[in-house]
Amino acid sequence: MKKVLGVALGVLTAIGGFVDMGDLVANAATGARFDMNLAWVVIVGVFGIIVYAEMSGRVAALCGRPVFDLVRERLGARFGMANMLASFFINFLTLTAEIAGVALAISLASSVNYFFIIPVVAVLVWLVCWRMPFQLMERVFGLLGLCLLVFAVAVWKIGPDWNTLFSATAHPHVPGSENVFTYAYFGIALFGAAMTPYEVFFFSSGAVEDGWTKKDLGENKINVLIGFPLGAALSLAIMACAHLVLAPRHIIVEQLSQVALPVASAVGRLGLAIVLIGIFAATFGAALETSLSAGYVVAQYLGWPWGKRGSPREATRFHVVVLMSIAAAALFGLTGVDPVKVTEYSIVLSAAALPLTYFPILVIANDPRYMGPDHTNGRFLNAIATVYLVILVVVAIATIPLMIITKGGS
Amino acid sequence: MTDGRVLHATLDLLDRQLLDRDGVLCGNVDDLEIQRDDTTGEMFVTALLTGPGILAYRLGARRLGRWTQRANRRLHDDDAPGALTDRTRIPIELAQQIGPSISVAVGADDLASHDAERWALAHIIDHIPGNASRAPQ
Repeated sequence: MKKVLGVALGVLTAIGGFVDMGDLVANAATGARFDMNLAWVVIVGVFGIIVYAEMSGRVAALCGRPVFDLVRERLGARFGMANMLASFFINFLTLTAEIAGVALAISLASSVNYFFIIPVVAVLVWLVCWRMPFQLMERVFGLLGLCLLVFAVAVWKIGPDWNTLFSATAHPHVPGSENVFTYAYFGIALFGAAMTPYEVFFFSSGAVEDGWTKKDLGENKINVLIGFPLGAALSLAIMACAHLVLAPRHIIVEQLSQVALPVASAVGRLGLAIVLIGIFAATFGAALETSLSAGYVVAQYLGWPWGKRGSPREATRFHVVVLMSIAAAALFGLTGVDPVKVTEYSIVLSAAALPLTYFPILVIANDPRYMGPDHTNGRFLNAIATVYLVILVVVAIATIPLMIITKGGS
Repeated sequence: MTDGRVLHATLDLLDRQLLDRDGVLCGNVDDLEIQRDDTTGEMFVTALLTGPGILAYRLGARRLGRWTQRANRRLHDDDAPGALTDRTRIPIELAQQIGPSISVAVGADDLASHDAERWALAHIIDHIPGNASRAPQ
């Protein structure tokens, strides 16, 4: 049991990355519009995040330094600050979307007006950040998020022709109804979601919060190798559900309620209930991940005490940043912004900032002064990581032009 | 000063995390004080600089730096003399361990970089119930 709970950090991180508010909708929207023709992007993305999250966890375990510390050390104060401001802003957008998303999930289940729920959700998110021990938090929300596995059950119940499904996934093409630009835009959104920077902020800081040392390098590997593929599998299951149920009916996914439709039709009421719990846990988990990341990013850049290992008295400015971020996100949510649109933009913008976050991790993971002589990257790992860095740079350059050309994928 | 360790100042010192004598995170190395030995012409790092405004100065934002320092002076109202004469300057002799982070032989409260931490405790965190809960592991 302890082993099972040990992977909670990886699972929660991955759920926040792959199936948070924006991705739930993005995955379903992609499945409904492009069938399985973009599934390969999720698979490319999951390998990337596995490679870099493992490095960030290893660095954190060996020298106790989380990602944003490294960002400043290796990018320098000026670029580091630009990255901090950009990351904080993107993270804030995501936090807004998650808080609004949780409120949306609750209002779907209870039919209470969504605007009344937003402040309640914000207070709950803050209370968890303020009081709940880190390990309990990662376990509760990581495990509850696994309710989303009901999407996989739904795919199995629908009983598609597996051969066609797999061969469609393995032989992607741009569907006739779409052009290359929208295809690329949605691809970038999926890739950006898989490799969202706050995953490594949260994962590496979580490794420090959980007190990982050299002994936990195995745990790091297991977390990464179970958590992220699980997140990717959930993401693909949602896509497949939409492809099988929504695409034939020409339903275009724009809202959270539509994401749950295939499960409701395939598994019934119980399935719907489980899916709502899963959506609640995943978006709430992502809200926690992003509100803590807001604090991590700022505190680690400026060298403040951070984290929730100790009491809030021991990391006062960190907790002030977390509190203010949550409050500001709730206010922004109350203006009535569409949470789905907000995350779509935040994912795409984060794709533009990706190389700035991942480059320092790669440099430090090769530095024996941080890692000791035995734990620097091997050649094979460096080759893969470098390929991904090139992909990240290409994606970062292509993101903004594609956003303009496709008018945000519409 | 000839037996000093040879370090790459920007890579090994600048922007590193500082830990105080109890291991409390107490700022980053925002800038370095460097002196030149007149006879040999060699350069030595004589102090680590950290605290409000220092980074802004280093990055050329002088006005922001002055403003931050003035604001910070207002936060630090008790004039109790700490271990340091200048609360933003840590003489390099007090750096005990230089690695992925730098341990220094001063208390966080002696440093100007920690003033805002204490201000936030007294003015915000202290007023919120449940601030002292120690997370059980």
